[in-house]
Order: sequence, then C-alpha cells, then structure tokens
Amino acid sequence: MIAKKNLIVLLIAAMCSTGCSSVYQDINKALLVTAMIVDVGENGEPTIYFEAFRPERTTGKDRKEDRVIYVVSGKTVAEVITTLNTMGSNKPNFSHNKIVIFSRKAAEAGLEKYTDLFARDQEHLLRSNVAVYDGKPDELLDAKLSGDRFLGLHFFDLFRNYNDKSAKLIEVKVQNLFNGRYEFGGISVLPMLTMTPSQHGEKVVTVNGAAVLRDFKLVAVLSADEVKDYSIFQNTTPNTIYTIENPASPGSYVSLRSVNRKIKTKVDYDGTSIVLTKQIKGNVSFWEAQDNISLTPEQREQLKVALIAQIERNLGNFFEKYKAQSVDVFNLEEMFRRKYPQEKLDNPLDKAVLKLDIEVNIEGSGNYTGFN
Amino acid sequence: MDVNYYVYLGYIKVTLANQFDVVYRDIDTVRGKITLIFIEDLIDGTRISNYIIRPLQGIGDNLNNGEDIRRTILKSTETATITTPDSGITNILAGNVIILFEFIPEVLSCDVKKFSKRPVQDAKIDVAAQGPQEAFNEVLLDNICLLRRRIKNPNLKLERFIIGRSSQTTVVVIYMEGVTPPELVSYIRKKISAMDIDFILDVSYIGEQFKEGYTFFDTLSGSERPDTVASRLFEGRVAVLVDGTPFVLTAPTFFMEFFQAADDYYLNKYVVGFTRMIRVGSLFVSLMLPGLYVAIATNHLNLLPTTIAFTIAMSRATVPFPMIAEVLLMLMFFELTQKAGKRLPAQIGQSLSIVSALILGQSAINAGLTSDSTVVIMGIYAITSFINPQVSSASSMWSVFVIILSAISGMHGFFVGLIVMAAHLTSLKSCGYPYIFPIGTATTFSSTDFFLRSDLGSISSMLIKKGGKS
Repeated sequence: MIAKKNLIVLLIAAMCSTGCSSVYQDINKALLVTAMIVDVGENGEPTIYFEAFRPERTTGKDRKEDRVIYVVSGKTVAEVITTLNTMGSNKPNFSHNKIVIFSRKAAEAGLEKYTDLFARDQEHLLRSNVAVYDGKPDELLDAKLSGDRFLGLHFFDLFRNYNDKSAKLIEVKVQNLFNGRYEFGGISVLPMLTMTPSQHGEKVVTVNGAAVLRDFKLVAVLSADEVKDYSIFQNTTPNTIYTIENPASPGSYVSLRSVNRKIKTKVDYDGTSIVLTKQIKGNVSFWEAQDNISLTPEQREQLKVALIAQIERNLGNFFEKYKAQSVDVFNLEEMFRRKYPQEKLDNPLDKAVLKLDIEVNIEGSGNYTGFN
Repeated sequence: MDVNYYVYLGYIKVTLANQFDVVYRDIDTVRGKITLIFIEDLIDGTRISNYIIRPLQGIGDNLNNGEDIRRTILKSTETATITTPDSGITNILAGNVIILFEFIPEVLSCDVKKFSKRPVQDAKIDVAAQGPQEAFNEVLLDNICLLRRRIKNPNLKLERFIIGRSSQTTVVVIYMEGVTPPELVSYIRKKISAMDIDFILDVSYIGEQFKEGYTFFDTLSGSERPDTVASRLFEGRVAVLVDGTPFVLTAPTFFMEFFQAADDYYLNKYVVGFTRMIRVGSLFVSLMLPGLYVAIATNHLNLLPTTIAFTIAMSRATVPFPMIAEVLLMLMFFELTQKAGKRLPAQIGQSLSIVSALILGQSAINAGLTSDSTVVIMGIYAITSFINPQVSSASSMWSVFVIILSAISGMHGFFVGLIVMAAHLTSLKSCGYPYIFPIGTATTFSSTDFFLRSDLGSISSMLIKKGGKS
C-alpha cells in the first residue's frame, strides 16, 4: 500500500514537472517562424523581418502552404516578438526557425543588444543557423530561391548539404556565435550572404565570404578565398580545392582536392614569441587538369612543391594580414590562455609567429595502386 | 428405495408440467404397464425403439428387479438405477430416458442421447495456414475426444464438476499427472468447486473466477484448437472445458502467449522468430503511435522535421477540433467499425468496409472533420492492432490513456503512461504465476518458446514446472 502511494505521488510529481516548454498547442494554430532577419532602425532600435509558415484554411486539392512575412520594430527583441503576437492570428512558434540573419548594418552597430533573447528564451533554438547579410532585408525576402519558397528552409538545406563539401562555406549556429563571443578574443566568424546578379539578370542570394565579429561587432570581412584559409586554420572543412599551374602546360591549371587531411595545431611560448604551429598532413587527389598532364616523378614533385608553396603563401598572407589588424580569427588567444594561464600578456597575437609543417602526397583520382 | 409407479409418475408430471416436448410413452406388457419418459428433442428415436421399447415389450415373468432388466433386456450402452424423483427429473432434462414399471418398484435410466450439433469444423479465430485445421465444437465429449486423440497417455486426467444451480453444466478439468504442478491443479479445483453460481453458459464464466485485480488484459485465455490445448497440457498447464463451449481455457496464461500463433509450430523457426518480433512490435506501435503523434504534434513541435510539420499543419488547417479530440474521435470511429464488423453477417461486411473507407476516410477529410495525417496514423494503429487480436481491446484502452496523458504533458505524459502500463502488467498474476513470465523470472527459466522459437524438440516440455514461480 505504501509502495502504491509512493508510486502515485511520484507520478503526480512527474506530471507536474514538465516545464514551461511543454504546453499544448495545436500545430495548425501555430505560426511557424522559419527565418528572422534582424536589422536596426535609425535610432538603433531592432526591426525584425519574420518569415513564417501558416496553413491556409481551405480543403481539398487547393490546400497550399502559406508564406507570410511580418516586419516589426520595437525597443527590444522581446518587444518585437510581443508585437508579433498581436499581428498574426496564430501564435508565433520559433521551434522551426532555421536561420537568424543579421543585417550588415546591425552587425556594424553591434549585436550585443539583439542577441540575448536567442540564448535566454527557451523557445528559440540554439541550433538555428546564423549569418550576416550585406544588403536590404526586403531584397533578401524577395529573392528567388532555387525551388524553395522559404528562405529558412533554403539556407538550412544549403548549409547542411554543402558545408563539408566546400571550404568556401562555413556553417555557424547560434550556439557557436555565443561560444565565440565568450572565448578569449571574442571573435565570431559568420557566413556572409550577398545578392549577386545571375546570368539571367535576376539577383540570386549566395553565401559569399564571411563576416568577422569581435565582441559582436563587425570588424572585418573575409573574401571567399580567405574563408578557405580560415577553414584550414579552424580545420572545419576536409574538402579544400587547390588550383595550381599545370607544370606540363604553362598557362593552364590543375585542380587538386584534399583527401584525408589531418591538421594538428600547437601553441608554444618561449618568453619572447608565441609559435603557432600548423602541421598539415594528407593526400590530394586529381580533380581536373586543363590540357594534358604527364605525371612523371619529376612533374609530381614539381606539383607537390608548387602546392606546398601555395598553401604556405596563402596561409602566411592570411595570418599576417589579420595579425596586423589584431583580429584573432586563428583562435590563438584562446589556445594560448588555456595552455599558459599564468602568462599575463595583453595581446598574445602581437607576439605570434606562424610555423607551417606541410606534408602532401599526390594521388590519382582513379587507379590508386597503379598510379604509384 | 421402493418406488410407487403412480406416485412417481404423478410427481414427474407435476414437475414437468407445461413442457410440450416431454413424452410419456406407455408400453403394455403381459405383466403390466411400463412408462418411458423422455424429451423428444434430446433422444435418438431409432435407438429408443430398437434398444429399449422392443426388448421391453417381450419382458417375461422371470425378471423381477431392475438389475436383471438392465443386464438382460436393455441394450443401451449406459444404464443406471435411479433412486429419487429429483434425480429422475435431472436425467430427463439431461437427455436420458427414464423407465417406470407398474410391476417393479424401481426406476431405470438409459442413455440414448442424440441432439443436433455442429460437426468438428475448421478453426475460425486461431487460423493456421499449415498444420491441423480442426477446432473444438460445442459438445463436451467431442472436445475431449479431440484431445484424447492427441494425448494417448494414462496420465491424462479428467475431473468432472457439475456447476450452476439451475443449468447443471458439466465442467471438465484436464491435466497431465506428473507434469502439471499439483498445487496448480488443486488451486483450479478449489476455485471451480467454490463457484456459487446460478448458471454457466460459457467458459468465460469460469475464466472470470480466476481474474485477479482490475485489468483490461485477459489473465486467463485459451484456444479453440485442440493441438494448441494439447501442447499446453504437455507444458504442464491445466485445461478447463465447459459443455456447450467451443473454447477451452488453459491456465495459467502468460502475456507473451498473445504473440504466439498456432502455425508458429508448423513453419520455419527463423521465420517464426521474425513474425513474433513483428507481433510484439505491432503491439508497441498500436499502444504508442497515437500517443506519440499527439505528444509531438501538440507539445513538442520542434521534434518534427520541418517539412512534416508543414504537412501536418496544412492537413489540419480546416479541422475544427483540437488534435486530442480529433484522434480520440477517430479512435472511437475505428472501434465502432471494428465492433460493427464483428456483429455483421459476412455478406454485408463489404458494405461496412465501403462505408468505413469512404465516410471515415476520404469524406471526413474533405469535410474538414479530420486530417490526412491523423487518418494515416489511425490507419497504422488499426493495422497493428489487428495483428494481435487477443490484446487489441486492452491495448486500445491503454492507447486512450496514453493519448490523454500525452496531450496533457507531452512526451513526459507519454512516458508516464507507458511506465504505468508496464507497472500494471508486472503486477498481474494468472493462477498465482507472474503474468509477464518469463520476463522477471529469468533466473530459473530458459526461454525456448517466447520471443523466439527453438527447435520443436526442445520446447513444450514441462514449461511450468521448469519455469517455476517468482
């Protein structure tokens, strides 16, 4: 009898401990927000563009998904969302929000004021993508997306499907944004969206480069090629494409794709300088060769030397450029502070030198054993 | 006891007054009058003419007591001397003929029963593609015969009980001596003997006596197939037969039996293992799917892939009810259809299918009363609950419980519902044995025929004795 009573008490307690997130809401009564574009007004107040899904109340075959856009301003993001509640017939639900896009204007003004709710409110997902958009939000919302009606779903698929296939594209979630913000250096690198004219004259939205935020404020913009170098520094994308001159045919190029690349990063401090060592080992495979190529041992050695030289040059330039700007996109300060917590250097990046140790083996794209 | 012909006859006539089918057949002999009393519908007219009336007409002077008449005159297989008027009445109602002599102070009874009965036919519920096809019928002796044909063993014991103050129904308890635990036999014997009931018409009257606690699950079930009952007797269980019922109870009953089918023992064991897994999986699907659907689509929208969330939202756009009401409504429609299907003659079953498919399906969607997604979920629920018909009623009740908790507290409520059900199942017992045996009693039990079926040679042998009680 006591066991039964205990069980009943336990079940009632369990039923009462469900938390705020578990509240009955019929799915068709929810306004499913799929994307948010955060812009700032003249006085710094947030203006948020909401892209949302609301089902149409029609029966039969005429039923279709209804994309609705709301533009709301307010003193705070919370106030904006409260206002949104009064605009739609359905209650907003952010559990399907795929991307939070900050306008470049907002990034330049600093995101500190506009991001707190995304981390604090339990309904907002930490797994939503984050990006910075260089342009007017209206244009982005009107952009033609290949086969998609929803901006949020388009970018969700884009980042999910191509993230590990292209080194020029990085994927950042809300959680990564906050991680970067609270690490030493306070650097977050977000993908940059731009509108570019297509061959048909229409403007299409593309991921082009990356925005570098320090303490949530835009401090630099990486070009698409620099994102490739950034990916090697962060070791995020295994597939990097290298294009170098064809040794057998001057004026034409060879494209090589990295395979099984392994990068080891080490930070050492000898009292005068901080050595950032990047040990890059791996194979590269032939992807394309313009004109003929005759892979004699000499030419393979030539290719290898040229490839290593190119990687060293690119990474070296990238390192020096952002070291000069004191923008720690290498995550150096975080690594340094963790390894040498007792050192009180003000700006470790100033004392940093890059040391590269690159080993590359060139392999064929087809007959692997016959190639060697 | 000496019997006065006229007093006895008068008593019977008064007692059986207003019963048109009671026949009083007088035979005049050289020694005096003989009266046969019987019920016309229950006896074999040819046998009564040839084996009773004709020999009695030639009765001579040398026979002066009932014992002599039984031994030398009557040609019926079973005869007896009746002592009291009440036992005479019982014999008449049971289909025997009683014989009153004007010149001998004794009453005799003869068995010449013959009544319309259903022949041994194919199993209707527990159908098997391979193996024996015959099933029990309503005649007790036929059913015993079907079992005896399968178990030619002197240890097969049959104990008879007469239960029901008014119905006087024969109940037979069958078990294998030496295989069945004696405490199980005495438990069942005690329960049946203690039954104080006016009448019993079916084996379910007996089954209810063995029910322990409040539950939707059947803690005592059986089979209509002699081969299944025979195999359970070999396992050490007890079978209970009731006259007039084509269904035999076997005790104890374990929950896992509901996932075993008759042809599991006539098919490839690996195929059987796979099908049993499907049956168990089906129970979980029928129990959990509607609740899971309600929990996710009302409390945890973030767990749905976005495209599916859009599809469900679109399909529900015109539904005026909350999802909990919609799902319960569809569940009720399904139960109604199922119950109607069971009651309807086969000829109009097709009409019901059309009505169910068109009205409850497509038309309800077009009318905006339900959504495509809910119909799909309930369709899967229906199919999976059909796979385990013996637990479908109990599982549908628990489904409703899980649905309601899921709507109130989302996944939390869903899991609470399942835990409560698991706790309930583990608390049940069947004739003192744990209902979910062998789960929880694994220390003494080697599982040879539950989730998977082992070689036929290694199963069905003293299961109960080996398994033991927890």
